[in-house]
Amino acid sequence: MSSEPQQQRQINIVEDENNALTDYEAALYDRGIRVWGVDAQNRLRRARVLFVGITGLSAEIAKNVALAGVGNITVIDNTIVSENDIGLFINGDQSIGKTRSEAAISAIQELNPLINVRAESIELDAISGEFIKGYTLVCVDSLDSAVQLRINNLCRMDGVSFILTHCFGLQGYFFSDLGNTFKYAIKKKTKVNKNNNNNNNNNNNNNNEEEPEEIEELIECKSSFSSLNDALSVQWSILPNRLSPLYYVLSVLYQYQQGSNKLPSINNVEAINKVLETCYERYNAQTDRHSELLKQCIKQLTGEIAPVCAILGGIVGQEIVKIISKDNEVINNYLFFDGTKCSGVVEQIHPKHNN
Amino acid sequence: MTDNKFQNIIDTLGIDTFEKIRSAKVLVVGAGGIGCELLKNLVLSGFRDIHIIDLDTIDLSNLNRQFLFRKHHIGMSKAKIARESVLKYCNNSDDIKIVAHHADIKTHEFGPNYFKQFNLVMNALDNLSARRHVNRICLSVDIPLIESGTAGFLGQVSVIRKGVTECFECIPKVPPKEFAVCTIRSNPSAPIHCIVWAKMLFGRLFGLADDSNAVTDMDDNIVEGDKDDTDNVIRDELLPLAKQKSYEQWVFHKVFYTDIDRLARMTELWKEKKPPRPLVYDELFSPDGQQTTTTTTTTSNGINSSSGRGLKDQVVMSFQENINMFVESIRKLQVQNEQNGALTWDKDDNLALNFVVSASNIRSHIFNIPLKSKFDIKAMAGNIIPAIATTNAIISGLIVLEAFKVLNNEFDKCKSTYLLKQPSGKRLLLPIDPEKPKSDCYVCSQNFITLKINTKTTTLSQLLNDVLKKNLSFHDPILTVGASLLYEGGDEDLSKEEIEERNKLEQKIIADYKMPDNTILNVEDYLQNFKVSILIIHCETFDEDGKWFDISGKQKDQSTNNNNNHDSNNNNNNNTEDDLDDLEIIENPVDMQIDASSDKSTAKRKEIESETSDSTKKHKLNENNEQ
Repeated sequence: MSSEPQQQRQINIVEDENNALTDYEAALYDRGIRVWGVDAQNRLRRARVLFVGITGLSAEIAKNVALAGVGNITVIDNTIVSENDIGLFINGDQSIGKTRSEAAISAIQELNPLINVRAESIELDAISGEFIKGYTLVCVDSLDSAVQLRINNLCRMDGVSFILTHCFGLQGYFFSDLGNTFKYAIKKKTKVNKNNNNNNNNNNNNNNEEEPEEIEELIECKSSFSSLNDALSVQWSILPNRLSPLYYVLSVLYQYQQGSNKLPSINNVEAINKVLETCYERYNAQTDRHSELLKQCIKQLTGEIAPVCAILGGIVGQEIVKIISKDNEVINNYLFFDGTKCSGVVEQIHPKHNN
Repeated sequence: MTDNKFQNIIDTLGIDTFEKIRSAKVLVVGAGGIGCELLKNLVLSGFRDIHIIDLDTIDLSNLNRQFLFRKHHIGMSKAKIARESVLKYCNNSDDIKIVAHHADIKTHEFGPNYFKQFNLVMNALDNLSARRHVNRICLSVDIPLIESGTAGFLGQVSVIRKGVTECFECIPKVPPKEFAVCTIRSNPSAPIHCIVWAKMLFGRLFGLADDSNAVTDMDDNIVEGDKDDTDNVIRDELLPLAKQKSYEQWVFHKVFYTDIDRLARMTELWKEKKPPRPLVYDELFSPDGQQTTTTTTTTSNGINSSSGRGLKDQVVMSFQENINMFVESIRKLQVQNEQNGALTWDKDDNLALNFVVSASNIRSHIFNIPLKSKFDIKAMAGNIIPAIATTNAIISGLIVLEAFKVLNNEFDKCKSTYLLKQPSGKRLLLPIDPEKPKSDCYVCSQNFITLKINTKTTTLSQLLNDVLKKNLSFHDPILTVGASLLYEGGDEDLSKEEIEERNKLEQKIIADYKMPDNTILNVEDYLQNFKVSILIIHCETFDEDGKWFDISGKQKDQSTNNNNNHDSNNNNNNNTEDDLDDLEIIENPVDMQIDASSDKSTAKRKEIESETSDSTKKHKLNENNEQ
């Protein structure tokens, strides 16, 4: 069963590369094309994006990239939908009893019938390099450090872009690792006066009458990213003072799971406080300042809520479009959203040799 | 029991806030890009008493972002389908009530009394006039309003609370760009001038009769001199001949030969640039209908700036292709016109778009202006500011976060938040504290405006339509000076004779109708529950080309009023009056970039707003500043 559709998709992709956008696609994606151009729209159509973990947040991201015209979307989440689940891909009572990925694919397909959408039922710890290879980008929403790390490493090996994201109540973040060298091109417009060819009649020709011509230049850029492990191992003493406390929580969670491979419940403040104590030394922390930050922050770490999923889902969705179209400055490598202040702050967190 | 699905909301916001969410009654104005996202966020956050209103129907180009709509919904009511689709996220057991209105918010049904029932109003609108309208009603009934807007990657959200924050009209919005009629009719220098001209020509040829449309007079064949000066007048005798041949030849000859010939003879216009050259239909098409090659293809330098594999519509057509398209679209439009009556220009109507593309490009060719692609002309003629799903998603999420604070009465915690394209400093989302109400705002603070206008040439009709309705967004103004009632709108309860009487009144010059210099005019609008006093100051000259009145919120010190009352009977002025009422206003392709280095106050000033004039508006919400 699994090899046949695979082959069919191969054929589809070949066809896609030869064909220009159809008139219908041009009309459907008209506004997007006006924002990011036809070349980017074609790259979106050829792209293959994998979502690991279907949460309220990743459902929002998937919605946004499906609407933008990302041609191939695959989802993995074998959790069963319950009656208390809520979110974009939960279709009322009809979804109860299905896996999250099953519920999601029909909803995504309905959003954009022109794209290929499918679910994989593979277990997360069975995901291999072979599996990851075919994708342009993998987006993970999971609190399990082992899963995060393994998928990040597989993506690094095969040059697949990696995004990790999660919402906690009014807080949320995303991390991106696009490899050691991510190449993109930005367009720069310069105005040139096209009057330079008539040297002999400088006097009688009024320069003001000539409209300057706009020339678009493509400037090649490179950006270098750190692995998740490197980004989470930075000494706290060199971090910026105003860094979101959420970053510290993430390193603590990560460190804790390195030792015990068990996930602390995010609601269990006491358990997390205990973990903190053991981390101070590891990260060279200023105990007073960081413990206060962490305690404040941990109080706010509840489960995801719809408006924050929408905001972060919009930001990550846009980032995925930018990463695939390779024609814009991308965020390197963290964004922290704080709903108590409505702030969205970009931070570069790399080990020292990368700075 | 069912509230378990909102456990995360309860954990995050507390049970008190959650109960306020459950009992709140809210109004969402607009079911477009922001509206769809907002409705979904409200439902998923636990809101269960929601009204949504939109007069628009669903179009194919909406489906890339208005995710509650599908292909088979095209042509149906946005508000009703949005309601239907969003209810799918709910269980049967959810006690949720959504009321959808397929209607215009600017009607009496939705006046102040309607607004009073809500705890909170959220705007998800795409045009300035409706935004101002909702702003005024919310201020008048003291209901908090959350205002929002998006354009491409940029967006903003702000809370408006009477007496606490700035209102929507505290800072004058960037006015739409206006072109003087002489630029459009006689002396174009940029593609947009030719596009505006082509839209006016469409209206002239296929639309309802409109005296203010001065683009051309089809039977006028004078190319030099004045019709009263019969000795010296020169006429284009070929025009009546062309008229006999075919409709398209007549139109072609009139607008690309006769009119151009007349302009070319005005030598003072062409001292510093090449004069336009009239086009002869028969030289472009040989008598048997086969086209001949033209010798004048050199001026078209419309090289597509994007890389090779563009869309078909992004390629600039050759001059000859434009000629063919022009003739063909006129033929077809004339048939449509005969069958269906007057046509309205619509950017989504391919034939109407082809007409404007070809007509504007031919005119550009004549005036040595670069030609444009159909893709670009569509955006310019249709006032498209492209909207994308992600920006709308972010903005609608921010609206709900502000809504939580509003329901808690925490106005001190409310923010105005700006979404930027690239991080400014480190910030992609920039929250700032809302400004206090402006003390000179004529809407929320002072209710006093100073209007400078030529009281000796302006008619009551111009004052009503261009100043009060178009510029100040009155819906149905009632005018009084002192104790005398000067004008009252609305026709439902008037006889035919009474309406005719009023139409006559509208033609009066305002100085002759109790509104000379230094009058205080009171204007009231029952629907908006809004009243303002206007000090009218006579003024004959304005610093900007094409401008004929000036509005300021501050009360002018009347003692320093130094307007001079010399008579305006000299002939130099007679053009100005002609030009007053036929300005074509199109939306400014506003520079939406928020400067990354700008400080908070300048970022704030660069409002991400855009608007259109009512003159380019169909009877539906505008496409521009779409979401």
